[in-house]
Amino acid sequence: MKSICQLPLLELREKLGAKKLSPQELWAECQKTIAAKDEEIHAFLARAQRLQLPKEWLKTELKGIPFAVKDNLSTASLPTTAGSQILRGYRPPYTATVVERLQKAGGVILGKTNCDAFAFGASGENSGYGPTHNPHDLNRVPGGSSSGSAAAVAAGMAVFALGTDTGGSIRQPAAFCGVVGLKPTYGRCSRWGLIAMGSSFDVPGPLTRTVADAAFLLGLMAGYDRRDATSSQVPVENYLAALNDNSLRGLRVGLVEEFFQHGLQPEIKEAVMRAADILTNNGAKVVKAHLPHLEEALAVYYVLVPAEISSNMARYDGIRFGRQSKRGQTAAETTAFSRAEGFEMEVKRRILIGTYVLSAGYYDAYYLQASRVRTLVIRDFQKLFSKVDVLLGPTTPTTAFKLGEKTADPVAMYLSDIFTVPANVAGLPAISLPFGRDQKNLPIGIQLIGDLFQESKILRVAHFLENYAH
Amino acid sequence: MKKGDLDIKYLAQLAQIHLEAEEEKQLAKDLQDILHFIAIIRRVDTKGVEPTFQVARKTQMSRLDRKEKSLPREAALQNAPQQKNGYFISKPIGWK
Repeated sequence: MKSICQLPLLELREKLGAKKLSPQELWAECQKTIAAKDEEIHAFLARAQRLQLPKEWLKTELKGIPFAVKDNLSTASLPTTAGSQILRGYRPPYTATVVERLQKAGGVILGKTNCDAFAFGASGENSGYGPTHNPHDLNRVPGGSSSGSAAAVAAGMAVFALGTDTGGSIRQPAAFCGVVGLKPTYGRCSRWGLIAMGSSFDVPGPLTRTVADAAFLLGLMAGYDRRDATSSQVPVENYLAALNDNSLRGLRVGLVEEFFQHGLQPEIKEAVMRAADILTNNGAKVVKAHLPHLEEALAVYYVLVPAEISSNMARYDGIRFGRQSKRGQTAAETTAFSRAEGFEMEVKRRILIGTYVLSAGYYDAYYLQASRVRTLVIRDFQKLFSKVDVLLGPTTPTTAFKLGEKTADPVAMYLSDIFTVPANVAGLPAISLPFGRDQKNLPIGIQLIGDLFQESKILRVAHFLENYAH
Repeated sequence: MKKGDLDIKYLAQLAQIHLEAEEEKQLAKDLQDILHFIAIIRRVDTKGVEPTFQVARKTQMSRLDRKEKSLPREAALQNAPQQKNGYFISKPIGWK
C-alpha cells in the first residue's frame, strides 16, 4: 500500500486544511517510512528528533508539511556537513533564507539529506558519509549531488525536499529517481546560507512529486534577499496560477539537435520525441534548434566552477570551524593537514584544478578564456529564445548507472552533466520531469529549459506533459 | 609554473592541502585527464568577446555603507575546535 507521504504536497495541504489529516499523523507516517527504508537507502545524514509545529499551523501555507533539506543548506537546528568530513558536527549559527522562508510558511524540517561532498558530483558517491542508494534499484546511484533529497522524495520518506543546482544537481538526481526537480533562474532564490560551491552558478530549488508542487514551492522560496546581493528583484509571479493556462496554441518549442548525440540512451531519445509529438498534437510548434557550443559549455563549467570552488574552499582552515588536524607545528601546517584529512578526493581534485586555472601563466588561457566562451554560450541561448519559448531535451544521457561504475574515471562522471550544465552556464531556469521508464524499469527524465525568469513557461509546459508521463 | 608543466606539489602548496605520495600520483593523472578535456575551450575564437562574470543581473548591487549587526562573538566561536577568552586558538603563525 502506498504511504500517505507519497501523495502530492498540494493534495496533503488540502487534507490538512480540511482537517481530514493531522500534521502529527503525517509526521508519524514519514518517520515510519524512514525507519523502514532509510537503512538501505541512506538518504538522511541527520534527523529532527520531534515535530516542531508552528503556532497556528492551520493558517499557514504549508500547514505543518514535513520536508527534507540538502545538507549544504545551513540549518541552525540541525548539524550541517555539506556531505563532507571536514564539517562533521558543524552547527551553523544561522539558517539559510530558503529554509527559513519555508519554515515561516509552516513547513517542518524532517532532517538533512546526504549529498556529494560540497555538492561536487553527479552520483552521490562523493559523500564523506557513504553513498545514497537509488530507491528504484539499490545497486544504482540516485544521481547527484542532491542524492539524498531525490531519494527521500522518491521513496516516500519526505513530501518534498530542497536541493541545490550548480550544474544539474537538482535535475539529474530527480531524473534518476523519477521525481520532479526545478532549477530556478540564477538569483531567483537566495543563496544566503547555502554553502558556496560555484557562486556564479549555485541556486537552490525544490524536488517534488508533481510539477504543481514545484510551482507552489517556488512561489514560497523565491524573491529578493538583502543578504544575497546576487538575488533578484524581478517580481515573483504566481507560478501555481500560471498552470491554469493549459492551452499550448502558439507555443514554440525548440528541440536541441546536439542533445541527441553524446551517447544518448535510445529509450530516452524516444521519450523526448514522444513529448515533442504530444506538444505538436496539442497545438505547439516544435522546431529544430541548435546549441553550437554544447561541448564547450561543459568545458567552461569545469574551468569556472573549480576556479570558484578553489576560492570558496579557502575558508576551511581547520582553525575557525570544521575539522582540525592534530598534526603540524604552525597554523599553516594545521590548515594543510586539516584539509588533507577532511576533504574528500573530489574536493581536492576540484580545488587543485581551480588553483591551476587561476594560477599565474594560466589565468588568461583558462579562466578568462572560459569566461569569454561563457558569453558565447549565453549568446547561443539568446538567439534561441528569440525564436522559441522553451527548449525540450533529455535531462541525462542515460538512466541511473550502477554504484562504482564511474568513480574511477572523473571525466566520464563529468560527462553525465552535459545536458544540464548549459542552463547553469547561462543562469537559465530548467525543470526535469519523469517521463516513462526504460527497459530496466528505471525512470527517465526529460528537461525543459526557459529564458531568464521564465519559470512560469517551463512549469506550464511541464505540467501539461505530466499527464502523459506514463 | 612553466608553460605546459603541471607541478602537483606546487599546486598543493598554493591550495594549502597536504598530499600523501600516492594521492599525489593519482591526482596528477586525474588533473592531466581533466586538462585534456577542458582544453577544447582554448580553440574557440573569442576575439572581441567580453567575459561574463555574472548572469541574470545587468548591474551590480551595493548597499549603503552603514554599520550592520554581525554575528555575536559566541556564535562565531561556537564551532571553533579550540578557543580561549573569546579568541580562536591556533599554532604559531609562520613557517618553521
